[in-house]
Amino acid sequence: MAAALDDDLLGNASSLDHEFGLGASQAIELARQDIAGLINAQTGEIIWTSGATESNNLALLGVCNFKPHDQPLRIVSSYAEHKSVIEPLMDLKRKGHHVELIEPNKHGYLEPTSIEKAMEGGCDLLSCMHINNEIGSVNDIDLIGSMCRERKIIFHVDVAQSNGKLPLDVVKNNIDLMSLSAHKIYGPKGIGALFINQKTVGRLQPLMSGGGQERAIRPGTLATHQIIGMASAYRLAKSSMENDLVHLTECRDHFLRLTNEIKGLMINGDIHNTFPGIVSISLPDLHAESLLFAMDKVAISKGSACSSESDEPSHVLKSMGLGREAIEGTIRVSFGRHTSIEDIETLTQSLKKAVDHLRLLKGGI
Amino acid sequence: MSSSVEILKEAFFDTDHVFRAKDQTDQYTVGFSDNAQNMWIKFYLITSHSKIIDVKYEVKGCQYLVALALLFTKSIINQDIFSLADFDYQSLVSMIDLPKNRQDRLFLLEDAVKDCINHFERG
Repeated sequence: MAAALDDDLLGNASSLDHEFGLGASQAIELARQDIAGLINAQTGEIIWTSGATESNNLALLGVCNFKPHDQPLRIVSSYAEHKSVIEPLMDLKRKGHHVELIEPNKHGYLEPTSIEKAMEGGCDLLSCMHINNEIGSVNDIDLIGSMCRERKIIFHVDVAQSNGKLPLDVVKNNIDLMSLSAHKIYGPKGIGALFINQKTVGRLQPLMSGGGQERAIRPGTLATHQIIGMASAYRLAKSSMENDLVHLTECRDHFLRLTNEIKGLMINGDIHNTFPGIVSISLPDLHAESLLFAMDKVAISKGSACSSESDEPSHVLKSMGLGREAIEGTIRVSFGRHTSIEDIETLTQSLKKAVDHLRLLKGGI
Repeated sequence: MSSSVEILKEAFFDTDHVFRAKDQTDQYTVGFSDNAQNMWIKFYLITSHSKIIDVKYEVKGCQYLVALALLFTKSIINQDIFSLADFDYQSLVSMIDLPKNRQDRLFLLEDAVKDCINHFERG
């Protein structure tokens, strides 16, 4: 990334009249190959965006707005999606499109039978996430993709939590649109991409106008340094994916062993179908915000970082059927490539201390 | 002088006035309130005539509510119980730099105090 800020790559990638612009353009195209390579896409199918939130908006609004206004689409998604999917869908609903949100099962993933039922009334576009950002539950995108392809339904997947962590193949999984992000795999913030299947979707209505960049689907000067940073993160993720997964599983299992003795602790989701990098736990007799405040030297969160300012209960946990007390007492623990076993021990000691303190405050000890 | 963050932290971890099982419940005038977010606070006041001699509390809620419980407790010891009806809750806001979207926690304090006064009046 630092090299991209040097003189050699400082040019505008759209200015192909001089060597600086050409250099930047070539670097961006190489980066596009890295992104495409990770998901088995063609380079021309990758559009740079500012992150998965923009990619989700562009995918959903872009498909629907590309169709004639007098043809409302039928869209199926779920209550467990990220707000950057749910809110654009609500906008589309207000504009006359038919939106059906299905509930995940109690473990936070979509049951094929629920999807099939929702498709019965007709469906043009189905959108779901691969790994849930709050629970870590994993949707079977292979199965959902084949269900969509059979019915000629456009399949959009938000892989912000799984890109670079689990193998992804847009061809094998029959994916038409895929939202990618960089910062969940140690890339820079503020950059992402949208995969647009050229055979099945081809073109989307842009959200912005005023430039021909990215086939005019996403106009605006490209951030060369961010793009190069994202590609580097993807290359690293690709080469260390298997090791990362083994390491995260060890971290998760160690954490669960150490917290097993905490009275009243509940684990949300099915441990056999959750990504090991995310663990959602509930302590229904405690308040998550104060639990986090009481913990030293650890950075964990209540739920989604995008909703942490809000006092509202998590819509994901609500859709899984958790009661208000369990939701208010839920925290999300994430492990990463650099998390050590010592870190897990520090975390659990801190958690136990925090639980004891809060239980003392409420007269439980 | 401590910053609002330090005051918040100190008050959050201070357990000197937390009600313990060994404390005799029947000595106290008790006041309770809760809200829809499953936060609650319970004050235990020891009074001599109408003067507050000691205060204990139990609390479940966010860090701001926990800190407010302690700061409020410390500020009402040696006060007359009836003067609590006019307590300036806003004075606590600046002490811990209570965010606007957390200021509803003050209602919990106020309601628990009203409950204490009611119980005191009923003897």
